[in-house]
Amino acid sequence: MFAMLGIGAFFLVGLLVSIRLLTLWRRTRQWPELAAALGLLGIGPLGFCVMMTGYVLFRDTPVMPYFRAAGVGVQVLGFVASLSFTWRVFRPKEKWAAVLVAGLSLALIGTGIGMIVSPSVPGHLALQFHLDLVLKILTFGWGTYEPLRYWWIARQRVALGVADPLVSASFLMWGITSGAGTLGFIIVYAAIASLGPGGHLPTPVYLVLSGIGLVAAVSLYLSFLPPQVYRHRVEAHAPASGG
Amino acid sequence: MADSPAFDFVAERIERLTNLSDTSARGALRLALKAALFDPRTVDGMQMLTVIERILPGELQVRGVKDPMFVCKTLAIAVKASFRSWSDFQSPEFIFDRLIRR
Repeated sequence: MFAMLGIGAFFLVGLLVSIRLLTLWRRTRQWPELAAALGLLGIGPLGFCVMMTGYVLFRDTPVMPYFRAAGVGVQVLGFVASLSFTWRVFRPKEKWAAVLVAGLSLALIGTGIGMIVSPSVPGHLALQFHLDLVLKILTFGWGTYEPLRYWWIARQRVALGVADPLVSASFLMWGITSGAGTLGFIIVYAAIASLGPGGHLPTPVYLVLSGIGLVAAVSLYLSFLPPQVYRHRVEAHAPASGG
Repeated sequence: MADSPAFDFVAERIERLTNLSDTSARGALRLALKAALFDPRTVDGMQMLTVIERILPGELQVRGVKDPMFVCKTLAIAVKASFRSWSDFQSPEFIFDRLIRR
């Protein structure tokens, strides 16, 4: 139970942040807020809940594969939305980024269909299993690199007095959230790939994933729902500048 | 990649408001942006305002522009009045600021 605490915290924060971003999108109609909300919902609470509903309530019934398929589909859409967010926010004018997003999205959809049609089991992992996790790691990896790269520039601008310290800190927090996701998927990949037929993930793996989930939950919260205390702290610790 | 609409807009107005040539106006603005680590190809209205208020006066003064503070105030007013029409050029800072604060 404790092992799932961090993941649960991440899903709860993901849900709260998604609702806030969707509310914002209703007013602004801007793509980044919608993409971020769909990404968080699809990868986190929604995709997971759909899959778990099938697993818990309809296990070993003819209905369960439909829930599984819906869960995989929602997660794939979440990853595509997440890619789109990184592209539109950090590389909107770069052609290579548009090509990368299109390629990764098509590959994610293709492997998602493969996962639905032919599910893998420990010990007999199909090609689509490896592709699926590698693509997800690449998606999160790019989603980690871009905000951290931007944070590196923004913190220097903060020192010059031409950037907002809270916005700069949000780049860092969003980078940490995505980085936690990248690390989580690498661990899941390595752990499942090393299992024999009929094997189950050992408790330490769940504990590590729970810790990563907690880090992701806190950093996600500070990224998009920064409380007043945190805001004041960040602004008070911003380097003094001439302006 | 071409310069951003914010860059072209401000460079053109610096030329009109001062005795600087097109090349000098663009050069001064490029240096001001470079000092603040902004890219002329991607700079948006909000970032441009910060540069106009904090860095550009110094660059204009170095080039012998009379009353650079007045020039920059005029530029800031023009940018504020126009940058909503450049909404397709949103920097990551602009987007994150909206996601956090609104």
